[in-house]
This record gives sequence, structure tokens and C-alpha cells, in this order.
Amino acid sequence: MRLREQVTAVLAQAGESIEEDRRVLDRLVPLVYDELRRLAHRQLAREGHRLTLDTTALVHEAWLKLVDGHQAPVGSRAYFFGAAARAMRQVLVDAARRRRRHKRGGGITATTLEEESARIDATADEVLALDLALERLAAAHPRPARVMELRCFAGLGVDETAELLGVATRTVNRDLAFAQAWLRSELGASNGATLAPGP
Amino acid sequence: MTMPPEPDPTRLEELFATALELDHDRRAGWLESACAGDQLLRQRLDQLLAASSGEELSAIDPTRAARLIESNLQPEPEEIGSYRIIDRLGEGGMGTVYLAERVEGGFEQRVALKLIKRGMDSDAILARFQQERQILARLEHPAIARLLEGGSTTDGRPYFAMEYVEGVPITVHASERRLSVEAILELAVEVCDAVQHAHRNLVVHRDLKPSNVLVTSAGRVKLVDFGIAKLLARDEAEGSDATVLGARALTLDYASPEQVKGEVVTTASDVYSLGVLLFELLAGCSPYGAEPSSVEQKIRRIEEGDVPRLSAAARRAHPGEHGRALARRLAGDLDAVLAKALARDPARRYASAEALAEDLGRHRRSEPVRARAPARWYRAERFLRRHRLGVALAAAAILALVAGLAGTAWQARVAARERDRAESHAARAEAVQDFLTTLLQSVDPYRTGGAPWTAEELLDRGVERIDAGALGNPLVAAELLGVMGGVGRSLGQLERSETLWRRSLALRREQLPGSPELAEGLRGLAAVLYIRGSHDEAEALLLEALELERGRPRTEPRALARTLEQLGVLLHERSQHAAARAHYQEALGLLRTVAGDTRAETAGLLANLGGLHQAAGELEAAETLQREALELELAVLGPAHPGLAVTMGNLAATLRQRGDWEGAERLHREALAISRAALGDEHPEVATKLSNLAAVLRSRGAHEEAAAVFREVLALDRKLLGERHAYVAFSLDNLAGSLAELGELDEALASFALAHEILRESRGERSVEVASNRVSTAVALALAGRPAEAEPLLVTGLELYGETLAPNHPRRARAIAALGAVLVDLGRDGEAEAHFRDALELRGQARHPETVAPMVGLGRLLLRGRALDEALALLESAADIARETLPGEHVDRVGAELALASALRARGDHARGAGASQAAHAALSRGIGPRWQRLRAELAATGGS
Repeated sequence: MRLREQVTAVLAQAGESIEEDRRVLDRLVPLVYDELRRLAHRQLAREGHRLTLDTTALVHEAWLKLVDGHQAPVGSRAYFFGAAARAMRQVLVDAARRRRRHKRGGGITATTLEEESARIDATADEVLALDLALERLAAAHPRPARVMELRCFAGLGVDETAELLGVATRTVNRDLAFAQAWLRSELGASNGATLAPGP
Repeated sequence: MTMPPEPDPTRLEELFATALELDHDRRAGWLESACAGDQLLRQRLDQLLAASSGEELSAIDPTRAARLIESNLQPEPEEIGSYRIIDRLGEGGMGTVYLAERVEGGFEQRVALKLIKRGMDSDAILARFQQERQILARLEHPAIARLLEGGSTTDGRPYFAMEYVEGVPITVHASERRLSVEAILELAVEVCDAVQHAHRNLVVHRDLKPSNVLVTSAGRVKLVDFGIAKLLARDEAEGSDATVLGARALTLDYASPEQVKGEVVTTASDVYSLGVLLFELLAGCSPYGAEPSSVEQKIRRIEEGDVPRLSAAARRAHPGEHGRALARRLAGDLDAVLAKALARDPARRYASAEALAEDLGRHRRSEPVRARAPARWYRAERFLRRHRLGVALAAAAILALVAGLAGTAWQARVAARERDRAESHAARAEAVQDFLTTLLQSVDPYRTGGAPWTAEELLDRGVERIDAGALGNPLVAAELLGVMGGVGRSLGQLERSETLWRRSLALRREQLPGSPELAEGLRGLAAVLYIRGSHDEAEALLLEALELERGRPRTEPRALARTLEQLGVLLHERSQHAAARAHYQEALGLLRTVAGDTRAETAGLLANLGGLHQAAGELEAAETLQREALELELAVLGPAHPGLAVTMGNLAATLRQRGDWEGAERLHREALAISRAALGDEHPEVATKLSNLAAVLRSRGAHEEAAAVFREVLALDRKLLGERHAYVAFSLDNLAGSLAELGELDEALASFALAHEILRESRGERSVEVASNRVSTAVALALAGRPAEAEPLLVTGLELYGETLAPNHPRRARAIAALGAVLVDLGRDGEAEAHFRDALELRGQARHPETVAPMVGLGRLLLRGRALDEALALLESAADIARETLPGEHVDRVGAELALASALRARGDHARGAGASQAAHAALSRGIGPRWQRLRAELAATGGS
């Protein structure tokens, strides 16, 4: 498993915190990205017409698949899930961007464009808006943005997040509350409403 | 847009967290001191705190995220089957559509390749495709994108390759090019043609919507996805989950009510979808309104909603003058066409896309559209509900006549040698139909917005329009004048009807000499003239019609039968019974040669024959024929038709003559109710019914009630028929008869005299009607104690009866009995006895109530002549018949009881005698009129207690 070795090797180089070692993340995300795409594809295929995207399951599946738990250093789970959340976000954002590009560039009106398309377009817009807002949040408030990213795109709970980031759950809760308030005020009531309530 | 400057991030986070933990009331004070005048910080904190509550944000909606991912995530296939994927065109609820190409034999073929998404039941879809592919392959039409191939990918997903169409949805095309209504209709006809082609090949599209109805850059229509919807249809058993509902919801906007309800989908469903599409193209908005609504709301609206009028929707959708102009353009024909296409009940829609296209074509050629025909019936139904039935029947009469015209037009079409004539006839029928449609619409209160029109106004309006010369074609005018004349007759507006028919006939004579239409005109005018009493002219016209029809090689037997029947009625009225019967019978024979349903006409003829028997006093035969006719009419016309009442009334008259007064009264009342409900209060038919009822009432001795009803009849006759009509005289006679019974002799005699004058004029000096008038006058005089004046009148009457009636006619018997009574009063007992015996002999063995009086008269004579046994036997028998057939308080029954009591006393049977007279006493003291007075006087004279 070349990919698995690669990922494990990158994780082994990781430092104490994710923020401090962007290099690791930057190398990790593309590796996870492809796998997540494949896993997502498979998941959707399995799901059949009950089409939902279970990001939490996807990320965990990717961990099992991409990382040799015995070889990986302690704390590399945090690196990996951070990378996975980022990759997942990237997967969705890329999908949304492609979607938008398609829409703008195409002028395609031939055959069977349906309401379905309009819904997907709306989803694409939401994803892009959230991505942009998260980026702005991260600029001033990196940790709340990170917490939010893990929550939104890796589906991680409070305890898991606290463990991954090495902070108290109280801090995670505070960060989440802040990030949510910040995003709500940023996205505005109408955009905010398009985001689904949490689990 | 510039971002507001942010306060120190860490401080903001900390203060936010602390503030969040504080109670609301303490928070404001704390913030005040914590921010210490930092306005920016305070502002930002307030903002965030305000946004701190609300639903928790977590992730993108997983279902929609999945769709987004799926639409992008998976690598685009490079090849599907033998096709190379060039580009992705789009995706839909069912899958993704690619532009693909295949190189085969050096020929490059571009296709639209629809790859069905995962989760659909691939095996079932492919199995259905195998079943349908033969059918789908037959769909070769320039406006239908061909289905080229179906198969499945290596991972088992079904795909279909279709002819690739470079085009835009028809709605986009129409709005981009700002198409005119005319251009839209032209396109719509193309679409219909394509759909019709598919329907002929037993393929229903099931999913017609703008994205499936494309227009190429060359402006040609191209329909895609034909038959695909059926292939993708799930079985109901597996179709219960939300995604399927969702998939169904995708195309809801164009789905028919039956599709929404999950009922059987037919070609009519496509017609509905075409209707929605056309509605949207023309009005610029969906028939279900513009605002988006939930799936449930949509389903409800489609299932229940009445689709708005096209023109009204267009008016709402476009502001200002443009909207008004568009609405004007769409109002009328196109409103009707769309309403028919979008009828909730599939059976009320156009039967096919072709029928829709034809109507659009008619509209474009400014010909009357078919859609308005059912609308017309529909409106007629509303008419029926909203108006007095009489008015509604006028409308119904028009419609029936129109239907008749259409029928003749079609039959005429069959005769090849007369094709030209037939075609002009058909065109005429259509023009007439169009005219009447417009006319009926103009009186529809829904359209006029005001008070409902009366039938009279309807006629006025129609005549106005004819006079205005809107028709141009004199043949159409002739036809319409006839139609209006027929309606006028149905409405009882006889003078107007006559005028209309005369105009119609003049035109027919001029334009169509020797034609069946001329014969029809002759019959039409004759029918009115007959009712108006101008029998000579009516006969002349009918004879002309008969000659014309007998002279033509291919006269329609039905038409000839009608002429014969009318002549028969006229002869009947003139008491030429044998000739009348021959005419009726010939007509019946002709009807038997007609293939179609002739029950209605047959019933009429049977009833008329029955009437002849009745007039001849052959009451049993009359009853049999009339009952037969009634049954036929009931089956053909239904229980509420006024035609039924005519036969019912005649049967009742027969029953009355047969002595079944109770049965007669019941039938008369029923007939009256039907006529009144159908024709209104002021109609000649209703007058006849009232008169018949009053006659029974009189027979039963209810003279006051009878007189009141006869007065009503008289007033009606005068109003409807004029002062000098024979029917006015009949009513005068009838009223006078009742008045005489009530002792109002002066008025009675004046009425008889007036009637006599009218009848001599209208029916002739020696007519049966004059005879009846003489007899009735004599009876009145006798009642008034003036037998000497009565006798010569009775003699004259009987003489005339001898000339006009069968020897055993009941009227003769009645007159002879009356003469017997007069002779008694004159003291000529012997002659009187002979007359009573004659009268009774004429009645035969019948236990008829009218035999009671002569039996009692004879009995009294016998009693006076001391022929006690015979008298007693006769009077016992008379009392028996009276008890059986007469009401308890009838003067003849009381008279019979008293005479029997006298006879019993004369035989010394005082006990029974007292009992018999006892029973009569109560009625005796209450009875009004000379007959009762006479009874009371007799009782006093003979000293009976």
C-alpha cells in the first residue's frame, strides 16, 4: 500500500500542533482528498437512491484505510482528522466550483435539465458561501474556525475535537459557540438558514 | 463593500464567552464596564450575541451534499457502451445526460446519452426496455428525437442513447424570440402532431415539459425522452419511498391530475401536459400560478384546482396595456381550447393531441372551435340550474336543433352525388352552430355579469343579430330563422314564431326550391299555424311539402313521416278520422324502414293514433296505444320532459272517459306538474293541462275548483292565443258549464253565447265543437229551470253529433241523457223514458259514473209508473255504480241514494229506506247549485225526513 505508507510517513513528521506545521497538512490533504473522493463515491453507490453523504463515516473510513495505526505516532489522529476535514471541505468546494463553472460556462440547455439541477446549484452556492466565511473566520479566529471545520466537514463531536486539538471540551464549546455566532452574523439570516441543523 | 474593522480577536472571543455565560439582565451592565467605551468592540459583541441563538450550524444538508458530490465526485465515464463521452450536458432526477459519439462505418453519430443514476431498479428498467424497444423504434417522426439504443454499463447502470438535439426548451425559445401568439400556436400544432404520431404508435410520453420539448436553432420542434418515463416508472409496490415521491415531484408542474393521483395514465394525460405547456407559453405563467409552492400544495392544486381562464391569467401576468391586449387576443376561443385541454376529467379533454391541434388550426383559420361545443352544453346545464326550467328548455331546444342540424349534415355527407350540397349544408350547420353559441354565451349570466336573460330576450337578441345581417349567407339566415321560429313555438310565442317561419320560408322558397329544406320550412310554418288555428293555410303548406317530398327520389323517410303526421293531426282535428289514421299508419310504416332510433317519433304517432281511437269512443284501444306511447316516451325522453306530459294528459282524458276519474285526476295533476316545471306557467301546453284537470274536477263534482281553474285557463288562452281562438271558446264553454252547475246562470249563458260565436267562425256552423256548445248551453238552461229553451238546442246538438261523431260516442250518450232529463221536466215521460233507455244502451254494460244520472232518471220514471221491481233493481244498480265510481258528496251519488230510498219506501222497506236517505242527508245540506236545490226540493216534496 504505497498510499498508506506515504500518509503514515507524513504523519510521522508532524510536530506538536497543526497550526505550527502547515507543511504537513499541505502534504497530507491531497493524499486524503483522493481517497475521500473515492470513498464518497463508493458510499453513494452503496447508498443507492437514498442519497446522503455521511462525512463522519467517510473520514473514519479514510483513517482506517490510509493510516497504519501501529506505525503512526501518537497524536497523528489529530493531524489526520484535521487534514481529512480540510480535504472533505475541499471535495465539496471543488464540486461546488465545478458546478458553478459548468453553469456559467455551459449555456447548456439541451436535454433534460430539471429542477434537480437548480437544487444542486443552490447547494453549491451554500457550500461556497460557507467556505468563504470559514476562511475569513480563520484569518482572525483560527481555532474557532478549525473547530467548526472539523464539525462541519468531518462531523467530529466535542469530545473528539477536544482530544484532537488537545484543549478542554469547554474551550471547544466556547469556540463552537463563537464560530457559530460569527458565521451566522456573517452569512446573514437567509444564508444561515440554508445550513442544516447539527446532529 | 468594505469589511468593518475587527476588534482584537482574542479579547472578542473571551468577552463573548463570558457574556454568553451571564444572565440576560446582568449582561448589559457587565458589557458596559467590560468594553470600557470601546464602541467597536461593544458593537461587534452585541452583533455576535444577537446571532448566538438559533439553530446549530453543523454541516451542509447531507442529502443535498450527496447530490452535489455525486454530480461532480465520480469521474466522468470516458465510454459508455460503444459511445465515447464528449461532454456532460446536464443531470436530472433520473440520471446524467452526456453528449457522446459513436463511430460506425466511418460515420460519426452524435447522441444524447442518458445514464440512469444508481438506485433505480436497473434490471426492471432494462426488462421494460426490451419490451418497449420495438414500439419505441417505430417512432419515426421529424419532431421526435429517436431512441437509438439502450443498454447497461459495466457496473450495471442502464443507459439510453437518443438522437442528439441542439435546442432550447420551448419556453425559453418563446421568451427569447418574443414569439407572437400566432407563432406559438404554430409551434404548438407541430408539438401536437408529434405527440399524436407517438400516440398512434401506442406510446405515451408521460413527462411532457419544456425541457422535453425543444426547439432547434432552425425553429423546428423536437421532442425528446419519448417513452422514457414509462421505462423508468417504478412499480407501485416499490414506489413508496421519499425519493420516488421526490422524483415524481420534479415534473409535477406539468403532470395531469390522474398522474398525480397515481391513476391510469393515458394519451389524455399527455393532452393535459400539452395544455399546461401551451397555457404557460400563451399566458406567460403556469396555470397553477407563479409562486413556488410545496409538493403537497401542488398536488392538491392539480387534483382539485380549477384551472383559471387563460385570458384572465395572462392579464394578471402582464401589467398594463400589453396585458389587456394579450387577454383580449386570448379570450374566447383559446380560453375554451385551454379549458378543454386542461379538464380535470380526462373524458372531458380533447380525445387526442390531434383534436387539440385541429382546434388550434380552426382558431387560426378563424373557424369556430370545437372546444366551445361542450362548453355550450356545460353552460346549458348551468342555465338549467339557474333559470326557470322553461327558459332553460328554450336553450336546450336550440341545442337540440343544432344537434339535429349536425346530424342531417352528416347524413347528407354520405350521399356522394350530393356532395357539394352536403358540404354547403355542413358549412351552414357550422355557421348556425357558431351563431347560436355566441348567442347563448351572450345570455349566460356568468358572462353578462348581470341579471339572467329571459328566453324572450334570448329570442329578441337572436332576431336582432339576424336582422343586423351578421350572417351574410341567406341560407344560413333561413336556417337560423327556422331555428328561432322553432324556439319561439316552444316558448309559446306563436305570433313571433309565425313571423320568423314566414321569413325563413320565403328565403327557402327563393334559395332552395324543391329542396328538403323547403319542405322543412313548410312544415315549420304549418306547425305554428296549426296551433294558431289557421288550419286551412297549414293544410295547404303540408300538402305542398308532401307533394315535394313524394316527388323527390331520395326523400328521407323521417322527414316524410313528419309531414304525414302533421297532416294526420290536422285531419284528426277536422274529425276526418279515417284519413288521419291512414296518415299516421303510413308514417309508422316509414319509421320502421329507418335504421336509427325512432322511438320518440313512433311514440308520438302511437299517441296520436290513440287519440283517434279516443275521439272515436274506442276507449280500450285508445288506452292501450297511449300507454304504449307513454312507455316509449318515458324511455326516450326521461320522466321530466314536457312531451311526456302531452301523452300523459291524453291518457288521462281516456281514463276520464272510461270513468276512472280518480286515475284521470292523478295523471292530469302529474302531467300538469311536468309541464309547469318544464315550460313555466304561461304556456299553451300548461293551459291544456289545466283545462284537462278542471274537466276531471267537474266530472267529480268539484265545480267551484273546476270553475276557478277554467278561469285560469281562459285567461291564459286569451293571452297566448288571442281573443278569438277556438281554444278560448272551449274554455268559455267549460267555464260556463261549471258556472251553470254553481247556479251562476247569467254569466254562464253569456259565456256560452260568446263561445258559440267564436266556434261558428273558427270551426264552422256544423262542427262538432258547435254541437258541444249547444248541448252544454241546453244543460245549463235545464238546470236553470228553462227546459223549453233547452230542448231545441239539444235537438240541434244531437243532429250535429250525428253528422260528426260515431253513433256510440260518449258525448252523444251524454246529450241523449240530458235530453231525457229535459223531457222529464217538460212532463213528456214516455219520450223521456225512451231517451234514458237509448243513452244507457249506448253505454253498454260499462259501469260508468255517467250512467248513474240516466239510470236514476229512468228509475224515477218507473217508480212513478209503479213499475216497482224494475225501478228498485235499476236504482239498486245505480247506487252501486255510484258508490263504486263517484265521490261520497257527488250530486249524482246522493241523488241515486235518495231515489233508492224512495223506491225502498215505496216497496214498504222503511228501515232500509231511512238508512239510505240518512247517508245522503249530510251531503245534501252542504251541496251548492241548482242540482242540489232540486234534490232538496224533491226530498221536501216526497216528505222524506
